[in-house]
Amino acid sequence: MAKKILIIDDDPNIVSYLDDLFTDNGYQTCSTSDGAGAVDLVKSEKPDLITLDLEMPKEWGPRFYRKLTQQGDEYRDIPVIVISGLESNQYAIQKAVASLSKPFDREELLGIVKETLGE
Amino acid sequence: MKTRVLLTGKDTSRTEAIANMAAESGRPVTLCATGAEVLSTLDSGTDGGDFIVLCDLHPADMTGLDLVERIRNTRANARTVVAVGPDEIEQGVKALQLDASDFMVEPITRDALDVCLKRADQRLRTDGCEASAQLPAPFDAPQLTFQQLFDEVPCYISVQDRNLRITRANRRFKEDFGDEIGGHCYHIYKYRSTPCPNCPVENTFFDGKPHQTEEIVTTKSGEQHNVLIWTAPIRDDSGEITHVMEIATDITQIRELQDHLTNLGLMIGSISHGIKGMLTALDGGMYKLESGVKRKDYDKIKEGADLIKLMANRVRNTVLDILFYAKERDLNWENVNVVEFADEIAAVVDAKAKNEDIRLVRDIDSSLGVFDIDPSVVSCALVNILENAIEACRDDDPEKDHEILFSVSRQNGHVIFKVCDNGPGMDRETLGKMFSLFFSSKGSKGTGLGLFIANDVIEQHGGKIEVESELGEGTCFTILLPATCRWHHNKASDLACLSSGPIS
Repeated sequence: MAKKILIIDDDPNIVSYLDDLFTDNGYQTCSTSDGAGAVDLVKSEKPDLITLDLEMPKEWGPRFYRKLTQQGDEYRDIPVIVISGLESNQYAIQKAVASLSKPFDREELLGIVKETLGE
Repeated sequence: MKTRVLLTGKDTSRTEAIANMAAESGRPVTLCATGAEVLSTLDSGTDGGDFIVLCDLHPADMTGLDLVERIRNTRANARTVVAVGPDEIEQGVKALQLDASDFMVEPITRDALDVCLKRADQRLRTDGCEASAQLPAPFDAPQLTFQQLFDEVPCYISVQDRNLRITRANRRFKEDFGDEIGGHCYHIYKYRSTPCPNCPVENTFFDGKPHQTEEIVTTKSGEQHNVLIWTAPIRDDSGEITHVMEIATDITQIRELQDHLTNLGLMIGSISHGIKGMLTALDGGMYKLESGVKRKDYDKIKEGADLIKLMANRVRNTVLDILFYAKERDLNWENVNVVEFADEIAAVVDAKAKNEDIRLVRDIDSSLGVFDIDPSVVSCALVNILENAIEACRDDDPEKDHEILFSVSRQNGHVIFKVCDNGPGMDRETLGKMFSLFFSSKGSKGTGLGLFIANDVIEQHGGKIEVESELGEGTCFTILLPATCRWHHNKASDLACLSSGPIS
């Protein structure tokens, strides 16, 4: 069964781009443009990996992540890839498997996703 | 024997108040009803007693200057001090030429009175010991030149006593802050009722050293100025600090320039974040286009091309906004017909409103005459505000019937544009920050430059933007522009027509 990736980014155009990119490479996807509702989405969709933007108007990435980890151990182990336009974004979420700066390199992102999901 | 103080003046109650102050200095005091009474008291007291005569320019029976001259001609050992109104300083100088000891400018403060009495006493003693020795008059010719320099220095200069009352000020100070000699510095400069924290004048009284601060002060016409303040002690003959001089240099323009530079720095940081997002979405568009071509999927190709077009447009607008802000703008003033101008703007946004199924209602008076603006920048600002209204309605509850009212009228020398929508309205936070650089309520869709620039443009025209908003009810923008500018600057200057009068 295809692995599922949750895309969180406030720009719907970027969500659509990542959605296409992952679907074309054989992954399932789900997405949200708003950090505030993302925890519920993780619970219902049970993704295998999350790509996370940091700056979002309603709730910014690190706060979403902290809330997520408070939900229980099984949520703490979901790998997160940070994709953000902020400088020094590698410090925002310590446990992130990778931090990519926008505009990111497509092949680099796919490489990290493949490696993380063990394919 | 103590020097006796004789007083006479036009206003009896005021003269009595001054007599009380003089009595507190420990000198015997006599109130005289007329100048003649002063002269007869002096004549009867030629037994070696000393006198200081305090008079204004208008005793009951003669002019103050006559009295000064006649006292000089008596044989009594007497000195005069003349009280003059703020607009009678020339008369005060004449009194000095007639050998008065000093003059004081009304309203008279205790400190000023003390200093004058002390100086008069000194002169009485010096004259007594050494009749031929002439002390220099307080305002001889070189000192008059100094007075002129004092007045013309391009700074605000004031002299303050221990109670922070202004006892003297130069012309520039009086022009901008009023000539309320005797008022408190903190009230005149800042409309405060208590002294400012860490007052440099108090610090100088305390340690005798100059002190420096930067303050924002408000002129009598309500303008705010950034000033750099330096203080210096003024000492009497015994070395005691009696007053402190405060010199304030206007650095408003320097501060404005610094703000501009700081904003530019902030802008580069913030914009680069926004542009990174746009470039990522642009990558997305190209990816969609490529994969569409590969799979011969026409819908995908169109999706990619549309996204590229959208992002290219957004990058273009952002770059143009930056260039617009970063550039020194020369306003190209034109005499523009208000109705034609308003109709053109409405036509620009009409299509967009129709597209979003929003009614744009025009309410433009037919006879609005002409006004002086740079039409290209003002129309950008107004279109921006109208487009914001359309976007706000678009993102609101789709069930609601949305309408934007665009009205134009003329009142009190101002042309008034109103843009009122029944969209979602704004919360207090958004309302407070809406004109700030880089503040955007539109997430990744806004640059935070649009309204900032619109506000800047309207202010540059000497106008202003007022906003009222109620959550759930809608938002109303009122843009007031003066119909005529007093002068037209073709050089970019934020002060272009600020002096065209207050906006009611």
